[in-house]
Amino acid sequence: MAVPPPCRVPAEPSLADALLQNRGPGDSWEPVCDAVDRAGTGVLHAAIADWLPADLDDSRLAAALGTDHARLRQITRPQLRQRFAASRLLLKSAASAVLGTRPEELELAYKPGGRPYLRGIDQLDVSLSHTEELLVVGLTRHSRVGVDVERADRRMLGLGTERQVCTPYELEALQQVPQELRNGELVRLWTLKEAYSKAIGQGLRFRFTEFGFGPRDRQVQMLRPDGSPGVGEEWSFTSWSVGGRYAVSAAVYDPGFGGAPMFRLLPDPGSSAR
Amino acid sequence: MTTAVEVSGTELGGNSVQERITRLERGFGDLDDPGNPLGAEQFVRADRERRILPAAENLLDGFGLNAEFVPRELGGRLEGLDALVQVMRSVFRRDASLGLGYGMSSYMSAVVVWAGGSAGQQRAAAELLLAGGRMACAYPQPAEGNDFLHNRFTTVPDGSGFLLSGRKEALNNAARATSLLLFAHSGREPDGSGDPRTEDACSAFLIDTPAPGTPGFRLLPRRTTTGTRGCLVHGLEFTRYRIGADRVLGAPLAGAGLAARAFPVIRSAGPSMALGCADTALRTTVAFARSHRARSRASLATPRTRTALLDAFGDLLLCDALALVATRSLHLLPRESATLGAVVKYLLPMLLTEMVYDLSIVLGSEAYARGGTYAAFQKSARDLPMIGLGPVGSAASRAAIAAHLIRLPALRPPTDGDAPDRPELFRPFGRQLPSLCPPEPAPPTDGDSLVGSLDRAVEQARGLGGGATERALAGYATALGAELERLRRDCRELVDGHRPPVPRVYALADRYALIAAGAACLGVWQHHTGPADSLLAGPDGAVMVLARLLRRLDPATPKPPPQGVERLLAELQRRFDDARSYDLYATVIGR
Repeated sequence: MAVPPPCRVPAEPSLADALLQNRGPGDSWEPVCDAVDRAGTGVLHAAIADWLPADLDDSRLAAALGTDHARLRQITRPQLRQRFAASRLLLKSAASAVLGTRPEELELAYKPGGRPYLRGIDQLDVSLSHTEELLVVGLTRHSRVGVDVERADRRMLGLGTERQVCTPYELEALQQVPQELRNGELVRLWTLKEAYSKAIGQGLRFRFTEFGFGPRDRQVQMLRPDGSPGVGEEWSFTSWSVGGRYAVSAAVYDPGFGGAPMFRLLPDPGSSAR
Repeated sequence: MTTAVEVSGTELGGNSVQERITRLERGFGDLDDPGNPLGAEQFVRADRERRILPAAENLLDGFGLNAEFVPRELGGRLEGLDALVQVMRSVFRRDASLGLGYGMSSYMSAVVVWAGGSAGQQRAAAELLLAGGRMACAYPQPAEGNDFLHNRFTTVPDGSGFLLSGRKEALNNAARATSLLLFAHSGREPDGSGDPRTEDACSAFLIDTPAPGTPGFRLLPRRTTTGTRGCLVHGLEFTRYRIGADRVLGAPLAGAGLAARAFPVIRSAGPSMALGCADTALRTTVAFARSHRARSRASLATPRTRTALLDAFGDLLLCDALALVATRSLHLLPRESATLGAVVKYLLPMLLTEMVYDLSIVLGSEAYARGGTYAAFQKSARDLPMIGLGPVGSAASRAAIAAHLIRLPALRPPTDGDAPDRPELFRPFGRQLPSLCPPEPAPPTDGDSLVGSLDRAVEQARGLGGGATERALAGYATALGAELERLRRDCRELVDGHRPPVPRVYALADRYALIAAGAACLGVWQHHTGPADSLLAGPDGAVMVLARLLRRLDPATPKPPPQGVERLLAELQRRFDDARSYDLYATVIGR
């Protein structure tokens, strides 16, 4: 029997196909809003420097960060404080733009396992990752999103890392990859694993040798250690490169309820921050 | 032969519910036995084949499961909603598709008929169900939709009757239900005529499912789903299909009121039944951990595995405490049941889905196994997200909680309550409840019995004295009380403000739901009447549940004391060895 048009077909992408760039608080959110409306998911990257508040002790930062401000005050290392503040400001600004509200109206909370979420706003799931100077944020109106970013040239090969990261199937597949591309492939697998593990709220608690991914040149599919299928088509995975310097991956879960594009929380355009 | 089922149809005390559950569990048999035609492996296979296991439907036919949905006065066995939930949990423990497809879909229709149908309609629905028939339903369209909740039917007057048009994309059992309960909005004729005053008001209709090929009716192709794959989900399309005036349920244009009376029942009952699905996921994970040597990462000897299992057990107990209070509130506090049903519908699908992800780290690659001993786990992981129908499914419930907070920001007990903490609300196996049928429409109360009871429970916990666990319980109860005070303050500020920003109210609704669940847990501990050595009677269970819950409100919550951990771990293993459920009831499973 033919599948009727309103049904979700497996090939329908749940992920936005492009990784978006944000150049700071003054930049337009239209591409992100558009990606979330159209594909259900938007993934963007931004530089920490572009989101760094001029003064981390400014009292206005407390209102912007909300309950996270107490956490900021407990962080002592300057670099970590900067990254913490910048990443939360970016995430809340992006989410509020998509939701049509103001960043300070959103409460960024944490599940017992540490996964960030917007308290009470279950129609938009969020994920956050960073490395060095780069921040990555994922937003989805499907059920769950996880994102991860690593330096593309992060040395993983030859340190014994592959045995801790790869399934037996992946180790074999890795041997087929030309030597000069092998480390990059390992980094890509790592970011996919982190992205999935973050999407399900587990971070590094899920052993990376227990699930894997197929080779680069195919549609990314999660596989069990022996190469048989893992999760089904309700999960989709994508990897990108940022200027050849960083590897970014995202995992999105869409249980397939279908439905209308996400509604705005506050339809009144005057109340929108941007 | 007179069976126990028939006997229990006339004897509806607490014991006979237990007898029915025992019979049902025996009928299903051992989930783990690969040779059992109703074992886990058979349900996994049926799910893969996208069908409901015929042997399971035969068992439920013989058991007369439909009688559980029919009130006693109409010839069925339905009395307490908490009892119905317990019976259905035995079904959901095996298969969520079976629970939804055999049972819950019919009950969702029937509950509207019990709430507002004429005597004749109630009799007809009861007879249909008691004869083994099925009902399917299309509830009114929410403000925001997905394919399971979106699309609408409309009617226009046609002589003495109506013409029904429109389509719904996804209805469980649409293809095999004898009777359809449809909510239809009153629309305009294509020429624009029609009464604009009644436009968008909706009426409920109870109709016989038209035969295939009937003009004006079309059954759309089966819809595939990623979870509960056995369910027969189809769309329905009507084009100027004539309905007689006698098919209106209740008064014309009174559909919204009818739905409002049915929502508290189905919002409380549905996710509470589906807890059985999460119960199976936990038991499957314990089985996996127990099958591993002490040195294995998956074994119970490792802190990572222990923590994951105990957190899941704590979450299940928390969810069940809330389920208990919400389902019993339909009988004991009907005027507060709409808010409590909304809390269940908002919180349980979220917590139970997360619980299964948390358990997946123990199973590792076996969490994705499509066959073999542990395949029931991946099925639960796919089935559970279907229960809540995603964010859109919970949006209406969240809005109901938000409205409650804006109306009653003080969150104090009602002034007209005869007992502020209502012990019967918190008692599993509690005494026979006042009748559920028909639930009367009533104005909401002026207070909050559950959350309002928290102050007194905190006081009692603080007065415990004793050892480390008692001190921990006092500490957690105090912290929960402090969270309530913070919530009250934030609610007051919002109400005092010019126009509360919507996301802030939603965040408060989330905190309220968690605090209400904590209050339910403390209430179960406070009012427990079971044996002194049971998990619920002592402070250990409450300590472990609250420690976990409070971390959702404040990540800096201190860890529970080792005594609590050891006690819950012992209970986890004991229930596994005895094959008992991981909810408040410790039901003996499958033997």
